[in-house]
Amino acid sequence: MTVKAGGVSLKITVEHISTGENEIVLKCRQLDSEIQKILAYLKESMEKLVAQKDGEKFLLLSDEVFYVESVDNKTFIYTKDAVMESQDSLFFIENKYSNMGLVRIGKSQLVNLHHIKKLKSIINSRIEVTLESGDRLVVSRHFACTFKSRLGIEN
Amino acid sequence: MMKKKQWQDLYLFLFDVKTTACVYFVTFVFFYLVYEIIDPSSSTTLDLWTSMQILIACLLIGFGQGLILTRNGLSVLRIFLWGVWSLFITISFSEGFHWFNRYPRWYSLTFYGIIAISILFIWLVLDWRLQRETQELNDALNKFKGSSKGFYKNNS
Repeated sequence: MTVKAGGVSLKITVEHISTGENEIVLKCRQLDSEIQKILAYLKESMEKLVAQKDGEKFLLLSDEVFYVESVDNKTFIYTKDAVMESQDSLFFIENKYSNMGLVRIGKSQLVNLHHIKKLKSIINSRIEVTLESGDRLVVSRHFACTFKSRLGIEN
Repeated sequence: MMKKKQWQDLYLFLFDVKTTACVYFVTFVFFYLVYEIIDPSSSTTLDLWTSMQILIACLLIGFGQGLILTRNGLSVLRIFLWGVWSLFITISFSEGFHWFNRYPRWYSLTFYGIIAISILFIWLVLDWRLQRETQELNDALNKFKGSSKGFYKNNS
């Protein structure tokens, strides 16, 4: 398969293996900006969030995060079927994982765009978010513009 | 000095105001004159002064719509304010300038009722707009999720 990214053609080959670990090999003539972006993406997607539940620590991939909420100066991470506490601040998580689809929807909430099932425009320029887990969140009016632009909608 | 975009915005705003005012003007004049058909024994004429009053009232309604119901600010509060403003202008001009003095009382009340119903139709506009935005949001979401989990969108 050949895809175009930033005007440069990249050949993608996916090889299925029956044994051994998953491996990604990047072949390039030089470490240009496109390759660096891919590397940054891979690095970010592999980085894990440390969260704890009932005294037990868990390492979460950003893809496992459905949404993040800050309540009483505590940060809670919501996955498909669990709620965990994180020591990181909402601001830190937002900045570190914004490229992975986490976007601010309110003063104290982030949502993972990849786990949104559907969206609904509601009165007063707000947006209702239904997640794949069935949870419902609301994008506040203040953050609706940024949210839309992350989806590629021009305001 | 105003920039080109500001001039364009102003022109588009005035264009919307003019269109709204025209629609209301035609409605008001029609309602004012159609009574002759309902009651053939009466004779209805519209003098220049009354038509000027109607025009000013319609322009105020048009300006109100342009200022209150902005494209990006359609909300329940704004629709409510717009309804109150439009009814206030209609009733105060009609009663203040005695537009329907020669008509029976039920006729002016019917007139206010029709204007109120036309304002309620703005709710439909809000509903259509929300439906359209919902469609646009979900299309953009599916596109985002479909493009390799947003990789190229985020990184290009």
